[in-house]
Amino acid sequence: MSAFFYVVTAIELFAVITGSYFLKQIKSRFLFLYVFVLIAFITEISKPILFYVFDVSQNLWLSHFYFPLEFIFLSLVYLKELGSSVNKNWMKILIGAFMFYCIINPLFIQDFTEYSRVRSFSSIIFLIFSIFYYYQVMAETKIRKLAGEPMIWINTAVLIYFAGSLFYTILFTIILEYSREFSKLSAYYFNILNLSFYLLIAVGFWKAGKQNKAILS
Amino acid sequence: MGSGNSDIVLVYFIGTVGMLLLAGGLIFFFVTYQKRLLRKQLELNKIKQDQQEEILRNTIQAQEKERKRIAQDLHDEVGAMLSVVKLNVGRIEKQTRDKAQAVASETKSYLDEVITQVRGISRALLPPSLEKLGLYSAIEEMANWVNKADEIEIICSKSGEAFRIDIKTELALFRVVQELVNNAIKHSGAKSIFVRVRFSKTIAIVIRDTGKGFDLNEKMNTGLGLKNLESRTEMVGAKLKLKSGPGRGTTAIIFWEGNA
Repeated sequence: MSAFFYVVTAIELFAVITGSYFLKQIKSRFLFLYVFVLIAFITEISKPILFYVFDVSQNLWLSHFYFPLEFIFLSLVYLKELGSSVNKNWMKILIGAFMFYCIINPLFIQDFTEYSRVRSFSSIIFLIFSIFYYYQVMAETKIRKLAGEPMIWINTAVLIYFAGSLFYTILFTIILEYSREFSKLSAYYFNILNLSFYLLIAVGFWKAGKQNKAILS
Repeated sequence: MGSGNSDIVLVYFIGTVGMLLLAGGLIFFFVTYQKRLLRKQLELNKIKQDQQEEILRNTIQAQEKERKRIAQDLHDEVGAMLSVVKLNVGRIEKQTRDKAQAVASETKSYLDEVITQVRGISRALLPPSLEKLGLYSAIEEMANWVNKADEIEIICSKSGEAFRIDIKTELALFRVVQELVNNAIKHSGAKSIFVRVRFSKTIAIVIRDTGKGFDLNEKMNTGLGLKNLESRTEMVGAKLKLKSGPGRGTTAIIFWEGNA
């Protein structure tokens, strides 16, 4: 495992700790996000455990479990936050259809040991959700201080991460075929995005905790 | 290899441009949102201000309606009945002798005073000359009434040819003049108050006293009275300017331009 892996895992742990510290204040609004961060961290640390303890070197099959869980929990956050700008019934149908695809993909479409292709589609969906959220914020103009609103940080995290992820996923095959060195370098850049993602989520938890503390006091 | 290198460059280029566009998009969002928020706050402030003006206008209208009713009642009902009572007392005075006659005389003089007071209240509430003859005549009538008491002298003058404007505006301007004159009588300690009205394309009214003056900044910050006067003048498209200082008397200038 490279040093970068430990850095990314540490940042994910930091996000989990921040969420746990403010859990009482954030659970009404961001419980699903907290669960997602927890699952992400567990998935990340399961890789070295599988490798060192169970001698499992190939862990691409984890993506068939992780991506649907990632999708469902993040979507539930957006289902709550996207109030006026989208029809919630359409959102529920989209989430249901995607989850169905996630189930049938490893069974009938892709090989279970391959890296799951659902990520490209989930990235597009999250980009759409993210843009809709920015549109909603702009239309309602209710937030007086953008930097104080936790969802702005979380939404920015989602936008940056999934935009990068979409780009990386689309080009993954091309990159891998070209050169392993180049693919390693691209993986490092992707990990930087990963790092920013969890860091911004940690900031979102912190802002949400502070906001609710101020309201309760 | 050459084409492979160009592929890498292309991939990095696309990636970099994509991230730059994303960053640009985020910056654009934040900047546009701030502008939109500011515009919304300005709109809300304007609505609040319009609402407050509307409330003030309605309050003043209700006040004036009530004053008119009271003035009319005082004049028509109370004033008329008092005059009848005075006539009756006069008849009693003629018919009785000695003590009764003295009591009747005393009652008659009290009645004279009451009638004068009632007329004064009625005039103060709504001067009859305002509607019939206009702003300057109403100010003159008010000054004559005050001068009768002999405690303070109000000297009125005008320049230019007096003209009529909308009765509501005339009433509003008269009320402001009345309030300023009352303030001068109550607080200035001056022996004379000068009221000058200039009629040209606009109307300018200057009310000046040589009394003790006051700290204008302090009064504007603490009292509602002066702010209320300002709002009332602004509502009819006029401006009120005050100049005063301790020991330097007070000058108030009301300037109406005709764009109410």
